[in-house]
Amino acid sequence: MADDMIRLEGLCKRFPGQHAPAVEGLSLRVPAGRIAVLVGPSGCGKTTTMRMVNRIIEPDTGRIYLDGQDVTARDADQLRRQIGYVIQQVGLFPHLTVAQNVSTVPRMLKWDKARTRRRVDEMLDLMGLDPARYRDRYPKALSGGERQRVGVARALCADPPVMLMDEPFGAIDPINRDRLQNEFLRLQAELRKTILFVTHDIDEAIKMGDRIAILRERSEVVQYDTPANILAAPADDFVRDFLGGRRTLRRLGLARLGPEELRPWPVVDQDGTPGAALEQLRAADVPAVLVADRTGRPVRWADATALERATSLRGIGHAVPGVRLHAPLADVLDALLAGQAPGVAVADGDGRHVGVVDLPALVQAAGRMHEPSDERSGGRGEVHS
Amino acid sequence: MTGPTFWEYVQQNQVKLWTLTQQHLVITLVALAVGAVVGIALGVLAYRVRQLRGGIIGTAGLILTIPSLALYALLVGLLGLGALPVVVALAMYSLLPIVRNTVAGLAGVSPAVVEAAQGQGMGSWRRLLRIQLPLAWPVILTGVRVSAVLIVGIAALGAIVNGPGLGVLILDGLRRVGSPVALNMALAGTLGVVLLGVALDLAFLGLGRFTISRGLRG
Ligand SMILES: Nc1ncnc2c1ncn2[C@@H]1O[C@H](COP(=O)(O)OP(=O)(O)OP(=O)(O)O)[C@@H](O)[C@H]1O
Ligand SMILES: [Mg+2]
Repeated sequence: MADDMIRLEGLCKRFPGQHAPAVEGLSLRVPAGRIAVLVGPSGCGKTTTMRMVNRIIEPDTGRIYLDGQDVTARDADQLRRQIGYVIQQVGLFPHLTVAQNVSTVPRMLKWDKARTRRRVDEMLDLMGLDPARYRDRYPKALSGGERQRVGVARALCADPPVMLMDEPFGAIDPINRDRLQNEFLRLQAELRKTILFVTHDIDEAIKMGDRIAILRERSEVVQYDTPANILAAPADDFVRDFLGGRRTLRRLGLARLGPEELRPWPVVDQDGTPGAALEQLRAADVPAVLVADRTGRPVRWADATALERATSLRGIGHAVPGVRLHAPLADVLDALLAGQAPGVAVADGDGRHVGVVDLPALVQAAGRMHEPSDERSGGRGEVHS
Repeated sequence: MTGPTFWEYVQQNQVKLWTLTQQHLVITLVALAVGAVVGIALGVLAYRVRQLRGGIIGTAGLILTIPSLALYALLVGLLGLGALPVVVALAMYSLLPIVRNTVAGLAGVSPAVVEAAQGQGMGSWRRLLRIQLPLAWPVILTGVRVSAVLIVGIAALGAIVNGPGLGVLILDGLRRVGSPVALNMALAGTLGVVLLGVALDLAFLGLGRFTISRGLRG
């Protein structure tokens, strides 16, 4: 395909003194603007594969194409300045300040000083590091998470079209990792880099990847597909084992709430009478009605028992859990379970009430996930903004 | 009649002593500069080319075992008398600590940092000058400091080939053993060398504060 940004063909590497190759016959394509995640057990050759793409390790055989051009024999240093590289161990230069670290490539490319300075501040801002506070610090004065963010900023600084990220969020606690992943995905929605991303955490792969390549020893690609398709149809037992349990629950995190899942539901005005509300409830044959506030937004659930006892609809029943249209189904299920309500009120992008999703609708939606789709609809932009 | 006391001797010969001390310092620093440049270069070579490492460090060690008297005898034949053979001999003696610490310093640089530099597109020279040597610098500087203290003492022997410095006093003292001034001369020369050694040691310690990145200190 013409719009493959990274194309690897038949890469092999055997380290001197080892009889088994570390990578054997790897072929992989990454479309422009997408994130491909390499995931596999420790020692399966992920880092070696990355290092071959920017030729820190020269492949024994095979070819590397970037944007359709064979770069297997290009000047390696020139090539590397166009490929952002985040290494597994971060590798900040300890004798240089954060600003000097981040501006490594722009300084080699001889950008003028003012432009470089602006760019560094922009990068630090992007990574959520206040430039005024962090610019002149040395790496030793940063936390592990801050270091990794500086490492990502350094790789991004000269705006390379391609990024290699080797477990970039590995050294961070789960909460901050989640935040960084989200920040990074939001960024990627704008930047649209072509990214080869390594992890051995399957959840991170599912979250970050437009596509996931599941690797086994010697970088053998067992399956290369969208996260949804891999979860829906694992190629073999190795993939199934690697994915672990709760595959359906994980897929709920990928699938999105569409308008077809919504049910119309009776909504009564809070200034109406409980008697009229009770009639509407019976007519619609639902366990509870929604009570709307003055703006028409549903705020509470009221079931038959509550309506029979009430004299007014104000403050009746329980609070309504709400989600937005296109929220992950996992979030909908969470709201449903946490709210102890017959359904979850759904609002559109402007906050207007558009309907209700209840448990049967959710089960139906989960059932629809089972047909593998061709490609996850749209890019990251629509999905994560 | 005994001669002048040591203190009287020093006062009477202030100018001469000061000149000799300066000469001693200059010849030490010149030799050290030569030794540092050559030693760091050899250290880099030894670090990069594994097969040469043992040979280079071994040779630098071997040089230190040559008695300076013998080394001067050899060098005078090639270079004549004066300051030149002294500078060459001292530079040779300074090599071992500098070479060894250069290799150790470079080996101590985290491979991840070097890979990161390579991955950003730094060529091997730029990587060496901008990343590896600055990171190895604290260790290299310690080697230079050790060499400074080592050769400031050896430099005193340079007087036997007509080299400059405080050795002149000691040698003169030796020649006049028995005369009242002999002890004063030898004492002044020795004391000068010791003080110079201490001063150099402190100076190099101070140099670290200026030349080692704040990111690597403390
Ligand atoms: N420079 C090297 N020399 C010799 N063998 C190597 C070298 N680098 C990697 N290997 C070997 O190649 C294999 C693949 O290593 P690689 O670092 O690519 O694994 P990985 O998938 O990145 O693992 P991890 O998830 O632990 O980072 C391993 O068996 C490793 O021991
Ligand atoms: Mg690895």
